[in-house]
Amino acid sequence: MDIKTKRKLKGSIALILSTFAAFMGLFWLVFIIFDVLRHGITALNLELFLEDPAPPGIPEGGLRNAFVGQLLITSVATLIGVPLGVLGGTFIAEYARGTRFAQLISILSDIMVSVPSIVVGTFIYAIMVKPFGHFSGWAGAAALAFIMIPVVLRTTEDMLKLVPWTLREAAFALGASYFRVIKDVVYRAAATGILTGIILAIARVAGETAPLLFTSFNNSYFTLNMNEPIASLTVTIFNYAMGPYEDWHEKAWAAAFIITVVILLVTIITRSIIHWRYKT
Amino acid sequence: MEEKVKIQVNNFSFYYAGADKPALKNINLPVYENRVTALIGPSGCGKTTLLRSFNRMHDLYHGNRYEGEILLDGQNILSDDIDLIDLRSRVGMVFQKPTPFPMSIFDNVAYGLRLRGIKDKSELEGRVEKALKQAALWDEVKDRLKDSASGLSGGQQQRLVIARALAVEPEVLLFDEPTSALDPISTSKIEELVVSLKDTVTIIIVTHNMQQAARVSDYTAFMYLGELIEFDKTDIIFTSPKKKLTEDYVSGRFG
Amino acid sequence: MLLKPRLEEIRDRLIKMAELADLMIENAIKAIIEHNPEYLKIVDELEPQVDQMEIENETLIITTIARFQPEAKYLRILVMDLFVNRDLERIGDHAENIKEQAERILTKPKLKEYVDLPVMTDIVIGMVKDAVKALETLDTELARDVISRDDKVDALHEQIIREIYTYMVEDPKNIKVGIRLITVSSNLERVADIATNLAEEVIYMKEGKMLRHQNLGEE
Repeated sequence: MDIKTKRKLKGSIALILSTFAAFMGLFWLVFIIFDVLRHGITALNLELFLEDPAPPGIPEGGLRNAFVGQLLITSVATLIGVPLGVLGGTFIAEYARGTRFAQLISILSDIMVSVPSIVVGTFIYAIMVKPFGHFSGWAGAAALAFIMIPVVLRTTEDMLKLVPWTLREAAFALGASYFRVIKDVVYRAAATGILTGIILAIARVAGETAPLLFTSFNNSYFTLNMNEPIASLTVTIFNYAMGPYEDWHEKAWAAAFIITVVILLVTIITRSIIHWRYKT
Repeated sequence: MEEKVKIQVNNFSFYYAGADKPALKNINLPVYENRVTALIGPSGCGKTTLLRSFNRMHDLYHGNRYEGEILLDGQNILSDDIDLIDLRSRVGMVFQKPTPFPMSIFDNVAYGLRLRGIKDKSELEGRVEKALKQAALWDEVKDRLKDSASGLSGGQQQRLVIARALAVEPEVLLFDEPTSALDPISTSKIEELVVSLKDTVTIIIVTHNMQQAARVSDYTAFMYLGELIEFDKTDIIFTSPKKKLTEDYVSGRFG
Repeated sequence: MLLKPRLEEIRDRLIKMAELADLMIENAIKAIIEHNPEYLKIVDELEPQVDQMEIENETLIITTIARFQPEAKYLRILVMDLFVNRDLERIGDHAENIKEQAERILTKPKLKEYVDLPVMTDIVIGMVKDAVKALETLDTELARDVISRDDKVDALHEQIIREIYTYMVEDPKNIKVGIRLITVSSNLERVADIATNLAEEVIYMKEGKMLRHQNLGEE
């Protein structure tokens, strides 16, 4: 076999392998989504959103408490996590750029990103649940925020570092203060990336179950009080899927369907907004 | 021709953070009002370092140190009580690569004005239009002022940046190799623009391209290894320089 | 195009210089024809101006070449500008020569009423004027016309020499003035040659063709 044929053969093998790998990944992804959609759609009905759960075993009621709870916890987590993450990222990428302190925070964030979420859950349990003696929505939100912060911080840092330094100098050269430079120029230039990071972070925590099990726990009743345990979709899915009733399984499918579709929609909408806003 | 000194550099030295040796050694140089002064020399000769001293860009980084004085209209801009924001509105700067901000064409040009607290819509509009006309860009963008500046070509972006600098009506405009990222046609447009602007501002231009310095400048300063070797009228630097080093550089024997 | 305004400036200065050189010739000859030394003062005034302009123009042209490194058409124009500048200065020199002769001629009574000299002067001045006009508009047609007039000037020059010979043969007292008049005519003839040169330079600028030392007929 001459060298040319050998080369061609190697090329073909690599192509076949990578194509196969891509299809493997894609297959399971499509399979999961399709399965969730198939089971979920059939279980969908209006009561799901409007009614609270009926007592166990009775095939009626909905998951209103879990929808609202999920929304509440995620929103509060976002409100805490995003500003802290963005400002922290701004600090290490701009004000503390190049210092050892910034490098330290950056490395710590990287570690925090890879810490299993259940560890975060137990940590928050230790400082926010145990001392007060009860689970609470606040603790759940804090746990999610805790997961969000390093993600948002690191993406913010990376995105800000991608903004060419000369762009900042150009703004400085016009007499802008550092605060104005960051606010007017750097954030705008990095907006797409930061926003993507935020969405990713929200999407990630919206799917978290483990940290909520230890913090906001669950609640069969509707509540807006963040001091009480609050239901969330993920924990509900976990409970219902594990439960003995056929009706619960259906509701779990429906909840999974909703959470998947919402995350999908949010991602798509954000991307189109970004695309539309920055089209050239 | 009577020349008025706009900037006078006296015994100026500059040290980058942590460096023992100065990047600029004892520079003495006049910059004449409403003239184009070119700083030329091989890479690393300190021409950009000198340029960035005129609006104290080096202050953005800790540990950089100036010595001597740079007088702008007789006032030492290196002294501690100089307000940098004020200085930078008097001394504008255009960079090597076009640096349009991620906002509309209008907002780009209005940026410096808004920084100075100008909010009146008609005043903003008037001054943006004036600046764009000065930068010879108005006709090309007047129908799409609300569009993103990133949609402009490289040459247009550079003229936009020049308009942005002009909008705040600076007295001095610094150009740091403004055409090194542009094609020949855009380059010659920028060169013409530079020459036409000297009626309103004093211009200092750093360029790698010796021919560009020859084409656009009235005065040329040749720098080498952090020192000012020769300063004279461009006509003289390019026909009969007094120093051999200048002659060798200008005739392309090194650099 | 930053070079254009410089080229225009040079051209304007050359045209102005040509006008001055023309005026010098005109007045030097007029002094002889009208037997009036007043006109020579004008020549004296213009001479340093033309010399000064030559130096300034030369510096301007050389710095322009150095700074703009022109190619093709623009290089031809600038190099020719350099020649034109020197040519015009030489016209001034000839006017100066004529003036010197005129000073001596005017110390003696008028030899005769001049007939051919004014005709020749008109033609020569016309040649210089048209050569400069051709330069201004890069009109090669006109330039070729200028070149064609040189023969007539040569003929008139011969005619003047012959006529003055007759005067000198008639009466040796006329020799002094006669020789000086012939010198004046020679100088005029040289100016016509320079005008021809100018015209050839215009053709080179426009077409890139070297016409010097060629007959038009061989072209």
